[in-house]
Amino acid sequence: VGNLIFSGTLERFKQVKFIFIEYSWAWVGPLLWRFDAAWKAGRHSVPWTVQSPTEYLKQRIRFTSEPALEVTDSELPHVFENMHADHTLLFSSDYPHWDSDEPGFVFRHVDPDMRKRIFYENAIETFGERLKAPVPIAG
Amino acid sequence: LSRVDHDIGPAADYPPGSKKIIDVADRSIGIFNVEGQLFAVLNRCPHALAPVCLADLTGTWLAGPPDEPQYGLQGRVLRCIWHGWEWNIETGKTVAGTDPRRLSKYPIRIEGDRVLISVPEKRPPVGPDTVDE
Repeated sequence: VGNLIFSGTLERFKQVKFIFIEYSWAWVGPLLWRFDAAWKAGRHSVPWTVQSPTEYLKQRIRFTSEPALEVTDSELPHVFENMHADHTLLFSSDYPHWDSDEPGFVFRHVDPDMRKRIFYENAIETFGERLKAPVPIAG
Repeated sequence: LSRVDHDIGPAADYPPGSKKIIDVADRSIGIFNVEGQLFAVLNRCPHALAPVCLADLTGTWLAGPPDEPQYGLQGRVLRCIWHGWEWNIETGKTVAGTDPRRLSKYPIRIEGDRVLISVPEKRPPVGPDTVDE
C-alpha cells in the first residue's frame, strides 16, 4: 500500500484501482495515521504524491472483508471509521473454504447504512454499473 | 481586534537575505527579508509549536507528475526544524495543501527609514490552532 501511494504508481496509472484480497484490514487505519503524518513531514521527498495517503486510499484502494471475525463487535465502528470503510471495504466470503464468512452472520450488528456500503454500494462504485448486469448461469 | 504598531529599528538592520528573530509585544517574531520584501512571522509552528523561524528559508520540490519533478519556491519555504512541515512564507499556508493550518503573520512596512510591524494588542491563547493576526 505504501509503495502504491508513495512511488507515484497511482499518479502514473490514474485509471487503475487496487484491491487487496484477504489481507485483513484492521491495520489500515493506524497505517493511514502514520502515512498521513509522514506525508505532511516529508512530502518534498515524494513530490508526485500530490494528495494525502488517506485521499488516495479512499479513491483507489480497496480491501475485502474476509477474514471479518478478527475485530470485536465493540471495536468495529472505530476500525471502520479509521479505515474509511464506507469507501474502502468490500464484502467477501472466501467460499468455499472451511473458514469462509457467512454473509448473514458477519457484521450483523453493524449499522445498516454501513452494511449497505460494505455489501453492495462500495462494490458498485469500485467495479461500476456492470456489476448489476445479470449473471448467466452455467448449464 | 485593535492593533498596535511597533518600531523594530532602522530598515538597514533588515537587508535582503537577512533573518532576525526579535521579541516584540510579548511574542517571538521572525523578520525575513526576501529579495527586498519583508515578512514578519510568529516564531511558532502551527503544527506542534516548534520555533519555526529557526529554520532558514529554502526551496522545495513542487507537487507534480512523477516524470517531471520541479524544484521551486526558492527562498520562500520555511521547513520546520522539528517535523519538516513546509510553510510558504508569502501565503502563510503549507506548500502543497498538506494541512489547513497556517502561519501567524503580521503586516510589516517601512516608514522613513524605520521598520514597523502591526501586532494585535491582545495575544490569543497559545495553541497550534490559534492564529495571531
